[in-house]
Amino acid sequence: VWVGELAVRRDDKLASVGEGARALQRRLASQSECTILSDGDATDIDELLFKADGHWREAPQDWGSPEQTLNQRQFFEVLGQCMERPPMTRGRVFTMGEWLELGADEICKEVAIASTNLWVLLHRERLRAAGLFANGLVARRPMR
Amino acid sequence: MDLKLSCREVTRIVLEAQDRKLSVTERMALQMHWSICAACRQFRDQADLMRQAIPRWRNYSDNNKPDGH
Repeated sequence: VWVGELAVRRDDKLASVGEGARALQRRLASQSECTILSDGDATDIDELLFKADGHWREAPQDWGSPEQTLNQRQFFEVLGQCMERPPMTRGRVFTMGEWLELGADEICKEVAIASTNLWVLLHRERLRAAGLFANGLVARRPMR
Repeated sequence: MDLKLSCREVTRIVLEAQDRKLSVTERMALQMHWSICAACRQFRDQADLMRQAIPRWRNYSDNNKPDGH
């Protein structure tokens, strides 16, 4: 499981990241998970994804059947582009690559976002960059 | 908990489900919402696909680095 995997990496890193990480470890232990966006981030993402009434601004696309999509080299190339595209969060830039390599500890510490929300960041990036996943790369029905 | 959820709430719960076990009520509420909302079914499928894709992407990415490891 993806999140569990990140958690393992998080543990690996804790030994080497030092005091900040130990503080985080305590925080994680007390909170058992680190999935909640800070209020600012949550508002930001919510506004991008949803209208005031809680409905989607733009319905998520059909990415096709998992078996098929996950066997497409192209899918991973596009995913890689998204991962390497630096999302801005509270003025601090980091790439998804950093996220994966450093583990959730640094991220949670710095911007109080969580592994689960990696996906949300990705989704937000997709919305903002208007369509890395569009144009029929993996979508069966291109949106525009 | 209200059984009638907005798309925004459904999305939050779908993401949280990757980290915690959902309650029976939450699962019912999700099923109800999915039965009437194609967009949220789509999102659920995307989230599921992403969950599967991330580890594979890491593999793919590691195998395609110039220094190769």
